[in-house]
Formats: sequence, structure tokens, C-alpha cells
Amino acid sequence: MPAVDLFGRKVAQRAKVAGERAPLAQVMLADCRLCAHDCGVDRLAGETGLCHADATARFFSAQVEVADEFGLIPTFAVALSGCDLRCDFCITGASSWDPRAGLGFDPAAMAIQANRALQGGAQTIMILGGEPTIHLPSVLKFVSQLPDTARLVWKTNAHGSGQARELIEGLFDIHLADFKFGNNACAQRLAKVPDYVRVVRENLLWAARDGELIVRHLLMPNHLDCCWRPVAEWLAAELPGIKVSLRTGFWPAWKTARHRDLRGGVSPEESRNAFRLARELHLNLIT
Amino acid sequence: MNEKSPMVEQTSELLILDDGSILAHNLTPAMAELLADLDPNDAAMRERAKPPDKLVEGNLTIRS
Repeated sequence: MPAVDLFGRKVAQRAKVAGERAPLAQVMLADCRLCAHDCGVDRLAGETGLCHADATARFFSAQVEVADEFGLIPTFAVALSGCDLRCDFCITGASSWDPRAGLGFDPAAMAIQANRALQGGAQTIMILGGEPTIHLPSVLKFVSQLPDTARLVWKTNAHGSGQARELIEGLFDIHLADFKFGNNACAQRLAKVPDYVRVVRENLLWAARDGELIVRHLLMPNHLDCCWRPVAEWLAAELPGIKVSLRTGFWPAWKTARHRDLRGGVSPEESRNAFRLARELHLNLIT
Repeated sequence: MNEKSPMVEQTSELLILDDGSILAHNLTPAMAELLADLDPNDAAMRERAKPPDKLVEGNLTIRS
């Protein structure tokens, strides 16, 4: 377990540990099993799996943002290109589905920008995507150049593998994890991901042990009973008291037109019912 | 913007719905300030537009 400071934050030698893990993560790309798709392709040789990413990381956004939860903002958010899921409603679909989108990611140069943001008042540094798990070698190099006192947020789809968990263990102050679907049928149909619920639950339980966990659920139109309800009930039963961020601003982006149920937004009634359910289950909602 | 620069231009995206409500993505402090000015009754946006040292952690907030 990493050492913590008076505020319970992990600080001891995080940069050093990340620097030691980075080359290990790079080697793992030769038989990539960083996410739960478990492709086993040799990304160092140019092979690609379901995320289509090779061994290089790119990013499509890096800026100070204030849209995330109040305990995290302003955050310097670095969005890496590419993702292992294929959510048809992805709000950054063009960049998230394409690991070649954006600019080349230089961890050292980005760390300079991150430090500048911290000095300018950013409270956290958030690493997201796409999905950052598929670019763990570059992420670890980036973390190795950040001050140990910086509050780091790992924004993830919670579809990483056990191997990925070992690489990030103890490095992030906050796990900001999506729990998008309450059942495997919706996950398969809308994001082309099998065995979703088991994988995400496993990752959330681990993340709650590793650091502070915030679970995010984007309420989708017509998915209150099939997705939000089982997610909420599971969180209430298995992770009582965990911070839950229920987001109702569904944006019918990207390829949502493929799905009749996703056209349009979340109705005020759906939103009211979703929050009512959260209250009934005594979820620890944050904004 | 070039390959040597680690930064891309700052961007926010807005979606204005039929009922006049606005959804925002990649919300920068500058855009939050603009939106807060447009709707002074939006307490959440006002909070997001605050300077860093004025922000407080949000607790249980139920929208109904």
C-alpha cells in the first residue's frame, strides 16, 4: 500500500513508481491484455485489437475544464484518443473511436502544461479518453513527471483488465468510473461489449479499495428500468456510501440515430424518477 | 496548432434543445462564465464559473 499524507492522500514516490512501471507496461503491449477484451495482439509490431490502437498514444483535448464533479474542478483534463468500447452515443465518438485522432502525446511536454494548470488554480489532473487504459505506457510516463502532491483522477470506462489494475494500483487519488449499462444485452447492443456487467463490477469493487471512487451513470432515455435501476440497486447493496454522480444531460450524439430508444433526450419525468430511485436507495449523490 | 505543441485549442461544445435548455460538453471556465451570465438563475453554472479558490465541494443535490 502506498504511504499517505495527513489528508489520506497518496503521495509517497508516486512518480518514481509510475516511472518504474512504464517500461513494464510498454512490454505488455507485445501481448496486449490491458482491457477486458483480452485481445492478445502484438501492438509493438503494429497489430491492433478491438480498440484499433497501435503502440503510440495521441490526444484530442487538453485543457482546464469545469464540467466535472465539484470536488474535482477546475481540472486539467487530458483526453487520449481511442477506446476499447464502441458506445454509439459517445459524445466524443470521432476521436474516441479513432486512436489516430488528435496530436501525438508527449508525456514530458504535457506534464509541463499540467503543472502550469496546477499553478493557475487547477485542483486536479484528470486522465481520460477515449479510454486511457489502452495507453497505459504513455499514461505512466506522464504520471512519472507529475508532482507527487498533485491530485490525480483516473477517468475510466471500468473495462480494464487485472493486468491494468496492477499497473495503476496506488497511483490515482480518485477513480471516476462509468457504470453505463445495467445489463449485458444493452451493453452488447449499444457498445458492442460482452460480459460488461461482471467486468465493471469487478473493477468498481477494486477501485473502491484502491482510492476514492466516484461512480458515474449517464441516464439514457428509455433505459431507467433496464440500466439505471440495476446499477443503482447494485451500488446500494455492494458499495453503500460510495459517491454516485447521476448525469441526466444525455446528448444524442454520434451514432445514436441507429437506436430508436436513444433518439431525443431524457425526459423531465425520467429524470425525476431516476433521482427518486436514488433517494429511495439512499445513494450518496454528488454533483 | 502543430505536432510540436502539446496543446490543442480550447473548445467547448453546446447543444441547445427544443425547450431552450443548453447542454455543455468540455466546459471551460470561460464558457461557464458566459453561460452563467446568460442565465443568472442557473446556480450550478454560477458555481462552476467561480474562481478556483471560491469553489466548494457539492454535496447531495437532488434535481426534481
